[in-house]
Parts: sequence; C-alpha cells; structure tokens
Amino acid sequence: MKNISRRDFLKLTLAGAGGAVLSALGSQVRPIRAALRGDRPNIILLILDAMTARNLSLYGYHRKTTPNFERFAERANIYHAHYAGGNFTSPGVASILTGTYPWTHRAINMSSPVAPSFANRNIFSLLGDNYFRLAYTQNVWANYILNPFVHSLDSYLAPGKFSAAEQVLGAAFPNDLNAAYRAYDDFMTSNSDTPASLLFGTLERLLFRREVAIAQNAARDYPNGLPRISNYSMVFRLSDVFDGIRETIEGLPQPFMAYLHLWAPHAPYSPTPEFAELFKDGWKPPKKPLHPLGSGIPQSALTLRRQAYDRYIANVDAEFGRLMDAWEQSGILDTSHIIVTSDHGESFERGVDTHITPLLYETLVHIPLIVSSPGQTSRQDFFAPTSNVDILPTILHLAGADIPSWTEGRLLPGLGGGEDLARGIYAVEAKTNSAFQPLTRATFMLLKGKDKLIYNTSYGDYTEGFELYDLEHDPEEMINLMDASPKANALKEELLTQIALVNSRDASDPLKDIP
Amino acid sequence: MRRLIVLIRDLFPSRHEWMPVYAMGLSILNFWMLGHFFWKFSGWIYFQRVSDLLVTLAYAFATTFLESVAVIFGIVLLAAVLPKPWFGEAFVARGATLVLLGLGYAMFFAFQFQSKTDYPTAMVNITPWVLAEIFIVAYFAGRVPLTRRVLESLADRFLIFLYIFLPLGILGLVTVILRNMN
Repeated sequence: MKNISRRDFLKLTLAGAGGAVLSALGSQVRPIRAALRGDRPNIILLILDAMTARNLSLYGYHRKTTPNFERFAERANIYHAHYAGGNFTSPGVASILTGTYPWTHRAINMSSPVAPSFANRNIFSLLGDNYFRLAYTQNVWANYILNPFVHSLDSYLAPGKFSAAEQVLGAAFPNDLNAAYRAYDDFMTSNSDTPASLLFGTLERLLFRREVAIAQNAARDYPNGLPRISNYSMVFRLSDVFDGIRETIEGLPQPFMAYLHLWAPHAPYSPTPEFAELFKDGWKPPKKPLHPLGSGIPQSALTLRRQAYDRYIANVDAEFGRLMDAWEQSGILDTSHIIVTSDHGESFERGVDTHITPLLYETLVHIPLIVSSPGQTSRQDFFAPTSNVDILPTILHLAGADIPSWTEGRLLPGLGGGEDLARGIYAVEAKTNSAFQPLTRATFMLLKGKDKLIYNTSYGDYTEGFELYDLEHDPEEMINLMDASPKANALKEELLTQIALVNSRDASDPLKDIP
Repeated sequence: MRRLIVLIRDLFPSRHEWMPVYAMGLSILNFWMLGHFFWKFSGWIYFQRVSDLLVTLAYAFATTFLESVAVIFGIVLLAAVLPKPWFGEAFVARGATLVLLGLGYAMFFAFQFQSKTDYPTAMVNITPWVLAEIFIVAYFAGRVPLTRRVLESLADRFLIFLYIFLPLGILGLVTVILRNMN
C-alpha cells in the first residue's frame, strides 16, 4: 500500500462525511465534483457472491427476485450471456482481477492464490497511479487472490470491516496477509474444523460466539440468525455492509477504482423478516436427473433451498436499490461506471446444492453483468457471449490505460467492443487438480454462440464424457446433443486443442516468461 | 533485600521441577497442532509451495510456543500463591496432572462446539466446576505415591521433546516477527 495511510484515509472519509453534512444543511444534495485528474471516470466494480443469473427476474426468472436490478437496468447495459471463469470463488475472482482464465491464473483450488507473476499483472497495478484504488472483499478466499496485489492499492479494507462481529485474525498482519490468513483463519483458529491452536483457538471461538450472541440480541432483525461467512469468524447485517460501502465510496478522492466484493447472496441464506416469507408459490423446477458427480441431494430439499436463496436475493436486491438511490442522490452515478456482476453461480438441481461441485451447468457459471456508465439514461441489451475475463480489459479501456497483450479477455460490447457470436467463451473447474500440474482432472466449458460443450475428465470411477447443449432451444440443458449435432466434433476438437495448448505451458506460472 | 529475594524464589518451583511440566504442555500442544497440520497437508500441497507450508508452520510453532508459556505461567503462578502442601510439594506430579486433564478438557471443549454456532452456555457454566475437580484430582495425584511416581516419570520422558519443540517455537516466533517488520 502506498500514498494514503489508514489515518489519511480516515481523514478523507471524515472530510467526505463532513461535506455530506454541509450539503444537507443547505437542504439540497450537491452533486459530487467532476473527476479531478483529466476528467477520468470513477469505476466501481461490485461483486455479489454466488449470484446466478438464472434466479434473477432481470434475466426472466419467474419469481420477482430483482425489481431494483430491473429499475437500475433502465439506465445500463445488460449482458444476457455472461459467464464466470469458474464455479467457485477462487477461479471466479481471479479471472475478474487478472483478465485470464483459470488455466492461466492458476487459482484453481479452494482458497488458492494466483500464480506469482500476477503480482504485477492485475487490474490495480495496470490502472496505475492515475486512480485511487480501493479494494474490499468480505470473502476470505477472495482475499487470498487480492492480497498479493495490496502493494498496488491505495486503500485495503479488511474483510471484517462492516461486520457486526468478527475475528478474522489474518488482517492483523498487514505485511504478511496471505500467510497470516492461512496460518490463523484457515488453521490455528479455523472455524470449519477443531482449531489447531488448542488454547487460543478454542478461546477465540468462544469469544466470537459470545460477540455474535450479543450482536444478535442487540437487534432482533434477523430471526434466523445474522448472515455469516461460512468457515470464518464473521457475522454482519446486510444493511450495515451496504451502508458501509456507500459511505466509503462517497468519501474517496476522485478518480477512483473500487473493487467491492460482498458475501451476499452466498449461503447461508439469512434474509430479514420482510423477505423471509416470500415465494410460497408451490413452484417446482423442471425435473432433471441426478448427476453422478453431484452430491445426490433429493430435489425436494433443493427446491426448499432454492426458495431460501430466492428470498435472500430479493433482500440483496432491496439493499442494492437503496444503494443506487443514494448514489444517484450524491452524484456518484453521474461520474462513475458501475459494474455489477458475480464470481460464480449457485445450483439447486441434479443433486447439487450451492456450488461445491465439479459441474459447469448454467446455474453455476451463467452470471449477471450490468454496467451503468456516467450519464447513461437508456437500457441496452447484449446477447453475445461474454466472460468475466473481459472486465479487466474493459476497465482499462474506460480508464484510458493500456490493455496488456496477455489478457484472455476482450472489450465488452457497448463499451469499446462489438458483439461476436462466433467467439469461444471458456470456464474451468479443477479444484482437485494440482495448481502446479497440467489440467488432467478438471471440467471445461466451451460456449460458442448458443452451443455449449461441457467436458468432464475422468474423476475416480467417473469416466470422461462430453455434453453438448443448444441453449437457444434447451436452456435447461436437458438434451445432450453430443451424438446428434453436426457441430459436436468441431467443438470437441476446438476445446481439446485449447486444453492441449494451455497444458503445454509451464503449469505453475504460465506467464512467467512473458513480458 | 537478599532474604526477600530468597523468600520469593522459594515460592516458585525450581527449574528442574517446572521444566518437565512445561515440556509436557509444549509437546501436547504441538502434537495437537501437527495432527491438524498433516490432516490439512494433503489438500494444501495442491496449491502451496514448500516455502508457503514452512511459513504456515512458523506461525503455528510460534503460537503453540506462546500457548505453552501461558500454560506454564499459570501453573507456576498457582504454585506460588497456594500453600505449599496444596500444590508446591509434588509440583511435577500435580502440574503434570493439571496439564494432562486441563488440555484434555480443552480438546473435549474444542470438539463439543465444532459443529454448533451458538454460544455454548452450558459448557461455559460447568467449566469452573470441571477445573476445580481437576485441581482436586491433581492434589490427590501428588499425595498417592504410585500416581506421583508415574506422573513424574511420564513428565520426565517429555523432556526430550523440549529440545525439538522449544527451538522450533522460538524460530517460528522470530520468523513471524521478521516477516511482519516494515
């Protein structure tokens, strides 16, 4: 971190808050000043964790889960075929921040970091000093991706920043973040196992539970328990987190680029009472067969989980609406590109609950992308496939910075790029493959136009197999056209050639020797 | 002044007494930690380099070292403040009993609320009683010649691990400090 110390940042935040008070005294909200350095636009990248496009009414879902996203969409670009780089946080976030697919950034395992050469190949380092760069993520696994980039940040907010109760100890070691997160939050005081630190770890857990009980009792606004980060010692109120990022953004020096990664609507789903009773419509999803690589969870249980997820999305949507209204009032929307997306999807079908799976069906990788530009007043819809690897080059383009040749993304349509239906989009799942070895135990997706090819390599007793779906006529991926479609062989050949190409590189750090 | 120093020194157990007890605490804490480390190891080697794993171990050894200091400090302090016949006599046997049963209870505690998210009120409420019972057991362990001999002998055997875990703990602590210096 450089230039701005924590104290300076506090001063800036206070100055921003003071400005807001003065404006209020004048009984009108003064628009935020135009960008200071060469009229560069601000850029806000808002990631909502585990939000599949398939459950958003914005994208045609039958339950009215996202009325506020729809309202926001009236002044934004909507990307209808947008895909994550992987099906869980590590590969998904790394693809966003590095503009590369998992086979290149190598954050393929649960909680793994990116390859070393990305320390200076990421959105923050590439933006350079022209922007005030802030990063905040509640997701500790996303922090493992982010921490090697901290030297390119002007402000780094710890994951527990806006929490009602938290004891994420790694954040207390700012000079050695990843090692400390690993040693303490994933090991010595781990919340997912018995703590390896017998005394301090047990004591930490005890104190945290006490803090949570106090926070829970202080306001009974979450009857089913405060939203929490699974595996880590953190609970929060959704409204506090949204208020926190609103205030933070309004106090930043301009132009700024802010990466804001919120845990919601990731499981466990904990909506407020206002949303906890929604969608009692008796709806049943299309019947799909259990997948041999799924967890075998009965569909009746998954349907209930989906209902809880939809309620939580509606809760997140309401908070999002509140945030956008506030930013419209304060002028942020007039000076900023707002990019809203997710790191991966969520599944309640084929025996799979949430996203702990090797599968790459639509629910797991088809995610929302909404981009609102300064002064935009109308909606634009784009249907060509796009990927989260496109976000890095697009942000650099919007900021007037150079786009590196090694990125695997392109400019998004409507933001410097054009729609290309012939383009191949990939997603990769390889959490049980070594990050230092070629990908041989993995699942790959190739999307071209409306044709989606999925390739599962062999997993234990499961022998490798290909699936081909026509998303235009079969959006639920029910009919495998692998033996029937004339396109099957060409797509299979293209995907296998691509896999062979990426597997021929130095697996541990593919870009190591590339300037 | 000299008499005061001697008086205070006599309150505390000698080095030959506290070292076996310390060795026992340090060893148990490290065995527990290493068990967890090797449980996670098979997953970590998928994406962590050897250097990363060594750094994680450095943090872990530093932490268990500090834990062991807290344990022995507590036991030695107890010996100093209690009447000598209650604890100071047969310090090794009684200290070893406290370490074994106290850390054993901590393990039980850690397992008990592994899968629960609520504050374990009932367990917290019974803890003072459990600790009192452990102390009573320790008192009698020092009075019965057989248990006293067995515990002293057991604690003595842990001394060998002191030569392994103590340097690792100090090395870990130095590593953590160096990595976190500006």
